[in-house]
Amino acid sequence: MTFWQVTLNLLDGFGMTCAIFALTLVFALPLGLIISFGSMSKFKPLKAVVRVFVWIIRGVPLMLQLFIVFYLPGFLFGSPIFNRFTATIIAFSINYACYFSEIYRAGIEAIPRGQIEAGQVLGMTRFQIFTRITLMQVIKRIVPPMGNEIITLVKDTALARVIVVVEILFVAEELMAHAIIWPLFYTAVFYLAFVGVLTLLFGWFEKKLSYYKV
Amino acid sequence: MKKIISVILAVLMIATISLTLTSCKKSDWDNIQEKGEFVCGITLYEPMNYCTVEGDMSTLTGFDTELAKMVAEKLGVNVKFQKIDWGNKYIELKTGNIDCIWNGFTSNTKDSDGIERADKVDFTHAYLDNAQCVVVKKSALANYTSAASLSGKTGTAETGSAGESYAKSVTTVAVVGKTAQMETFMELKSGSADFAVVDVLLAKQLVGKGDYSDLAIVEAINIDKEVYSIGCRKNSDFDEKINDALVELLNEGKLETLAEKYNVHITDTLMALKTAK
Amino acid sequence: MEFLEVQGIYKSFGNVEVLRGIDFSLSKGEVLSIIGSSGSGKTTLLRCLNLLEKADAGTISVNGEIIIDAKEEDSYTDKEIRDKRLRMGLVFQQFNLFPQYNVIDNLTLAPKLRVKEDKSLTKEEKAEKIEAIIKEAEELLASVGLSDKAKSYPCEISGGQQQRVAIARALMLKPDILCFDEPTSALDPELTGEVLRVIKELKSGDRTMIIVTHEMEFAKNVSDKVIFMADGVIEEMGEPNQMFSNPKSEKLKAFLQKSDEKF
Repeated sequence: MTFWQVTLNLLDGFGMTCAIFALTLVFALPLGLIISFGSMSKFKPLKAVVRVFVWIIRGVPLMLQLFIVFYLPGFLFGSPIFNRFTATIIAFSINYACYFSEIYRAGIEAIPRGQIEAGQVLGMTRFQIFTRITLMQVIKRIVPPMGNEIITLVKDTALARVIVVVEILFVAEELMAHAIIWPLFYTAVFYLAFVGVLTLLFGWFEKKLSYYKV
Repeated sequence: MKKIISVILAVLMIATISLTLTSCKKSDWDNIQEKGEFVCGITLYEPMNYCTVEGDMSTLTGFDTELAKMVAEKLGVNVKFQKIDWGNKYIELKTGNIDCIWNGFTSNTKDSDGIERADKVDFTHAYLDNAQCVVVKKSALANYTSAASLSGKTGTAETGSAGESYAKSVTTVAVVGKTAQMETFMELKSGSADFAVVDVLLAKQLVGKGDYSDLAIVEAINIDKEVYSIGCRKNSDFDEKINDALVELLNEGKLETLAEKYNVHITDTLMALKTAK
Repeated sequence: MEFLEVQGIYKSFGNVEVLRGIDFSLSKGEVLSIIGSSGSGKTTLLRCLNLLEKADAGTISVNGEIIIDAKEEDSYTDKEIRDKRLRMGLVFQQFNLFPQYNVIDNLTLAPKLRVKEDKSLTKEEKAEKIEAIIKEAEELLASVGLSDKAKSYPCEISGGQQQRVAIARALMLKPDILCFDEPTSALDPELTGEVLRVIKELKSGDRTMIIVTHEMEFAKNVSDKVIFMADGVIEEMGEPNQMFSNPKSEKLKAFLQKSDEKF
């Protein structure tokens, strides 16, 4: 196989890698916010349930969670519920939402009480205080840890191959049937390029937010 | 990873058993007819299942691919091919993601857990002869003269494969389980394993070529002959249907033509059924 | 009836009684200073007035209208609480400017939001009101001497300037009573002067103000009335001159002596 053919094949798999990455973010970013609200709830039972849930999801390997989401329905009901890709997105979204929720929580809890009180004495509603005051400060605080987590996600997508989602590493391994090994190492270029772009993006975003200090 | 699977298996088996006991399930064949198709779990390797254009599943071909299509035609249903992780084949089968394991699946062997494969799945007739072979670095080939020379060496094989069982039986040192047969060659090349046990069909296809030109098959070591069968769910009625179709194809001479095309050997036991008819 | 009537305010946190029956009144345009050592309940009293804390008992009325009745405080809707809060303005010790907004936006954020959510206004009326708000904010900034900082962000200006912005921000909502919670405690000594000067200038503007402070000299100069709090009660109340030169209670005498020692 020529270098060009291998590149095209890997790009196919890389498309899947990007799809897992993008869809996970689309679902996990808002879901994480909901979970973080739950984990900060004043209603104790809800808070307890959410925190136990986060503990379980963060405490169990993502690989195992992929197995559970994909295979468990088949074990219980004799036929699968989700296809491989859907199962991957579900497992990844829930897993990353839990990590995100803890980052959100740390960000929200770090907002000085005085900021909220200042909004209150100015007659702002809770919603206004959250959207106009807290949120922007939370975002600034969480950009670095979120950047970390999101870069980890890029590489975690490779886990999807355990339930045979054909992402870039899977493709590279299949190419070994052509008596070539180097595509496996070549995949690193794709990951590095992806992470490089993300790093630049986060750097730009941080710079964008550097006009104020929290 | 295999350990993880075993743990889930253990937990889930209980759930499965309790559920299957209470629920009255339709037979496999009924389900397949209802769906209008059956799903073969495969991994890609020549000459059984492979794509002529890499990455394009519509160009899938190979001995098993063509045979499955012929059987499907006889049964009046469609066939779908689903790539699986070989180490997860039993879970895939049990959870209904696939209806059969049809991918050069050795039936007359034990898994590395010591359990006969025949106890885990319902096998069809053995339809093809195969053997495992030992692959080593060309430079070290002279050191391997018999099975005894493997003891004390580090082996590698695909997790859950017949090769893994063999490797574990001949060496006391670690056997590195890989998720694909091809990966075992990388272990060899990197020096992290001394010998690999893989299907002879695969080895003949790859060893000595391309990046694997520094590897060689140890002709001096003969491993007991193996046979391939198609694995269906335990207590399934689908294997009977495939058997009927196989014998029909045999009697029509189509099976032998196909075997010639791919230069593989049909088992004597299956050939015997032809004369019986 | 006085402009501000505070009666029987009690407040505990757990077993700790922080306020144990606070009564006082204030006329329109008067300036009240509240002094006392840390932990005497001054700040808590101010927070109760602004509904940042719920008083356990007592009433607060402004201009003859009861705005807080501790008995009913739980039944207030969010909307009611917001409206009540607007009767009072509060300037915090830590300024609490919103860091992501520039100075002018800090001033206009809340008033603009109130206009935007007012459904009775047409689009044109809203635009007109918002324009008026911006104009007013510019005027207020000028009055605290910060016209040139309108587009600066809080992190770009000094603490004293930040506190002056915070004062202007509190004035934007035209509170009946403006409260200050130790407005200079977080400032370097050389910056306290500019803030105190601004507060003093507000007095001439006929504003009713309550100032919790440690600046005795300032309290003496600016106040019409002084309250000395100790252990959750009003220990002594009166004219500033008489309070500072001729304290009656032993506790106030000791307190004044201590604050003199600081220098």
